[in-house]
Amino acid sequence: MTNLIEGKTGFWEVVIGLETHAQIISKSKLFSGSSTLFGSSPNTHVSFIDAGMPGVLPRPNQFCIEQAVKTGLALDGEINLTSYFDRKHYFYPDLPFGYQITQFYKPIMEHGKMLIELEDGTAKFIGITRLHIEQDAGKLLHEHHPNKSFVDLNRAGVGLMEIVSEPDIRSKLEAATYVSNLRTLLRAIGTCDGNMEEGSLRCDINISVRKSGEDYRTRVEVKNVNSIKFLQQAIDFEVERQIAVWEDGGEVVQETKLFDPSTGKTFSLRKKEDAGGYRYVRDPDILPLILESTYVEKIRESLPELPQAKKERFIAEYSLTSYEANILTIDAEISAFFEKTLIKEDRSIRNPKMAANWITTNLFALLKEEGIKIGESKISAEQLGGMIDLIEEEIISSKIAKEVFETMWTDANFFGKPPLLIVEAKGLKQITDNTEISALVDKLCEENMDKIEQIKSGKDKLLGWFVGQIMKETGGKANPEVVNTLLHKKITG
Amino acid sequence: MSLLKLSVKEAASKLKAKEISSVELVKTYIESSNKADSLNIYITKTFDMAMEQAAQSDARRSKGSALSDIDGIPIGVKDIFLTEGVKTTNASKFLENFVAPYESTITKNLLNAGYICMGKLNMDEFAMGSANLTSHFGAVINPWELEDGKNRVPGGSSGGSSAAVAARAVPIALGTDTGGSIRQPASFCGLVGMKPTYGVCSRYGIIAFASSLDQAGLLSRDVYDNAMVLNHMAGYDEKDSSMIKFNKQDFLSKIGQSIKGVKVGIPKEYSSDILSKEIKDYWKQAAKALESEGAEIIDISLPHTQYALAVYYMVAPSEAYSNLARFDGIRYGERTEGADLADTYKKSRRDGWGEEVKRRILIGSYNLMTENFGKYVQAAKIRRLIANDFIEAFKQVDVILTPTTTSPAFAIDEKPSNPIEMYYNDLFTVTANLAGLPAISIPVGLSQSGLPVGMQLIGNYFKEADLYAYSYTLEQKMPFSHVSSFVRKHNLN
Amino acid sequence: MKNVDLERLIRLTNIEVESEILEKFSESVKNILTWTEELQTVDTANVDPMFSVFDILNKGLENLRVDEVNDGNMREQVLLNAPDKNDMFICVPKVIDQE
Repeated sequence: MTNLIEGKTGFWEVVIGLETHAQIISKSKLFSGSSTLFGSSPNTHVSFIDAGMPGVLPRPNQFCIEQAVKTGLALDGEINLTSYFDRKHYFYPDLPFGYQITQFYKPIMEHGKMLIELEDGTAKFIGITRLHIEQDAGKLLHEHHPNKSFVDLNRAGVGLMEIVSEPDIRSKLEAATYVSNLRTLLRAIGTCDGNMEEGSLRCDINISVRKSGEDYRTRVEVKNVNSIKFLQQAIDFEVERQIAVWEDGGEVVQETKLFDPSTGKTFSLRKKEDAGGYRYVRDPDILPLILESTYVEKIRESLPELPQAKKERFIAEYSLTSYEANILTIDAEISAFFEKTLIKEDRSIRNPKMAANWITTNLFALLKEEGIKIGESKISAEQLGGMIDLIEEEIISSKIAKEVFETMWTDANFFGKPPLLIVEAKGLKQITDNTEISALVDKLCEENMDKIEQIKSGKDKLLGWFVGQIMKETGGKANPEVVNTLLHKKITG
Repeated sequence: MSLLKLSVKEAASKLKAKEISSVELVKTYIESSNKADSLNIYITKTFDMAMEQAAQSDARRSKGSALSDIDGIPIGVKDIFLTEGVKTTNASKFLENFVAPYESTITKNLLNAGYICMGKLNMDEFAMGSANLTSHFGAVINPWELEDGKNRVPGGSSGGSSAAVAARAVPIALGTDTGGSIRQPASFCGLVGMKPTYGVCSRYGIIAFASSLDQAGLLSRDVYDNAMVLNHMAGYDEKDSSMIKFNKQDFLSKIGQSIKGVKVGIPKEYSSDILSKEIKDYWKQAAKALESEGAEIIDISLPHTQYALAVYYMVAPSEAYSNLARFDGIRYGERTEGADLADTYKKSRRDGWGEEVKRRILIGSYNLMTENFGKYVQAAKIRRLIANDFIEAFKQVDVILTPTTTSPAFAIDEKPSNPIEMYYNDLFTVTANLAGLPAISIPVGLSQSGLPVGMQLIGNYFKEADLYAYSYTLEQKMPFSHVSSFVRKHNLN
Repeated sequence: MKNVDLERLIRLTNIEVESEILEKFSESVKNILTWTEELQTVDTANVDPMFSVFDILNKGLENLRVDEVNDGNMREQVLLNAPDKNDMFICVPKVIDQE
């Protein structure tokens, strides 16, 4: 019950449903053979179909449909073997037909669900009402001319999946987790790149508040939120505003709003939407979409291991913490890299904790620094695995390992080479030979008898100085444990 | 002037035998077209292009590489088909300067067969009308003139097409039929008019009026010509997602076959009170003519016929409302700049269309209001009942015989003032569109006043070849040897 | 005209309408009302609506497009008929973007 928010009149419950628009990964648009490439010169990826020329007819893209089925199955939903395309009418210069082709009456998927973890470590399912296929709109640019807007139709007609959740979400953190999990899932199955900045994933938030046990109160829709941070800010703002309105004796009005990141506030659209004005009708240009159940089953079988399942497996199989498992399963490439690092040639498994640690700290730092993805990492999973072996076999210390790691990343001479080569070439092998270290210890002690006296009289900290000197002498290669034991023996007798 | 007398079949065989050239043929039709200017048949004449195409056709012919049996045949094209590089106006101010950026599938198919495009023929604006009185470019005059001196309507919406063939400005013309727009003008002008099964001809590149009803077809002097040219139009088109794959028939294959044992249904519901006695008599004569060739005449019932007009006027304007949403003056078409975007939309749509189009999209808009949507769905359900009536009937009979219209062509100034009365023109033709069945109108004689009367044969889905065969027999038994007064007056015989 | 929210109807049709046409439209609505009343009397229990011809033959899409880029790159032709345009864009009166 930590989600309740205290107002002047008592505790309020937040009720949130999300409509997420996910751009489908496909080469061509939903109903035409134009490219879906982002960031091209204006109006280049536009065909006569995309421009809504007279006489054109839409041609559904079979891969977009496959992607939607895949996503529907990954969300544990029921695929409707017959679904329809409908027209949703409104007038705007970015909508060439004067209607958007969508699936209103019978979507391709219904009744899905997704698991999210809560702050207290428990988990809950968020219901997915439906997933339907629809077209994206074009874009208007306003900055180029004092009294004209420019229309760019490159994005018009790109395939979208609209994923509608039940109003099961009860806090901004749940909302954030839901979107983040959804993004991870879409990426894992390759149906949406989840890139929120480029707009390939965006949310409409339906928010209301109520006293516990009540029916739903009026909801407000905040449209087109394109980052998880803004999602949370918008929810914060709306919840606070709505509670204040109710508590001041007012009424929350049903309306559509936008979020302004610069102020952190939501604001009403000046033009009110006419909710009944879309006049949804079947699109007579497209026959019903009828799927074979064998086709759906084939897609189900082709699904990769989903992030949630993978995460649970990482925790169970590799004894990772939930935190570590989360980071490593957020992206299929990362989890693949991790598992490749773990598995030795003889199929035995390396230390998972150590692998997780090297990847999530050292490797991630370098990737971030260069702004590249794990797929472009200069250190391969095999190299990292080999390095972990060297540590485990005590050929190098963890400290030396950092140097080896740096070298693998930066020194072109060693790109892709086994780390043992670096260790040998640079003479970084750990000195574990007692007699060699013993001689060094003897020499050092003889030269610093005064310090030994001080240690004996209780100044323990000076022991560290002796260790440091030996390490310095050996260039860090002396096995620190051996050094410690020998020093101790020498000084305390 | 003997070339004008030739049917398409005859002209084609003379071209094949190199007795005449396409250039000669086209030249002759250009002259006769120019004579017909007073009838207002053409919106755009493409005579220069036609002469070039004719020369190319002759060149092919001389090399023995004619593209088809209709290579070199001139055809008139209703101005609803997009013809690349040529103005395509849909008889509307909205598109009066619109140059088609691509070629419709039907005209492309004909180009591939070597047809000669004579020009773009007048029609009712956006195909909305049954008298060709709504064109932005003025009314078309029926070449059948009576001694009363009053101009008659050529029917609509393919009124330019019917007048052009009846005035021998072209030997055959393309039309489209949404509620009777080929068959009714054919019957008003003494021609054969065929609307094939929905989906026999691709709709790609035809400006949509009501997508689920529209179908392209031909207006010709006789049955054979009609079947001959349809052979080069029909076929599955990937670009039209409302088509289903069907076996391509040779529409000429059954012409001349005996109709012995063919069961001809006479639906009692078509025996309407508003049907004149002379048309009833022709109906009986036609049945007798078929019977005399061995057909069996069977009384049938199509019980939901009485609702057909009401259903049609729910469905057609609603689809039109939606299809015409793209005409907003933004990407193409005439734009009236207003105070702002909203104003620009409203004024462009006000100025772009004439009264009938505006009235119909308002009706469609009204039908699709949320509060009326239930009634729209009820109409769509009754549409199924109407189609089911036919499916049941075709278990009993092979073809259905009805009059095409309730009366012959009326005078332009006697146009019914109430649009609803106008709709009765479509009474007998809309059912085939609602059900999607093939239907053909054949001229069977003249009314007492001297105007052509047409009979309609409705066939089962994709039974065009049979329908042509039955029509051919009827044509043989009730030969229509009359020519329009315009042809007589101008010696085009 | 009773029973019709004319203002809303016209707004959703996105058009300015001359009064003569509105009058004719009102006449039509009267007819439509008679017709729809007639249609309401038909028993359609267990009848599915027919929105497209091939609904009657229970046919679905037979024509799904393979995901290939084979269209587009024709800006000039796309802009050809635009009443207001420049090298790259179609132009419209300035709007304050709301979405």
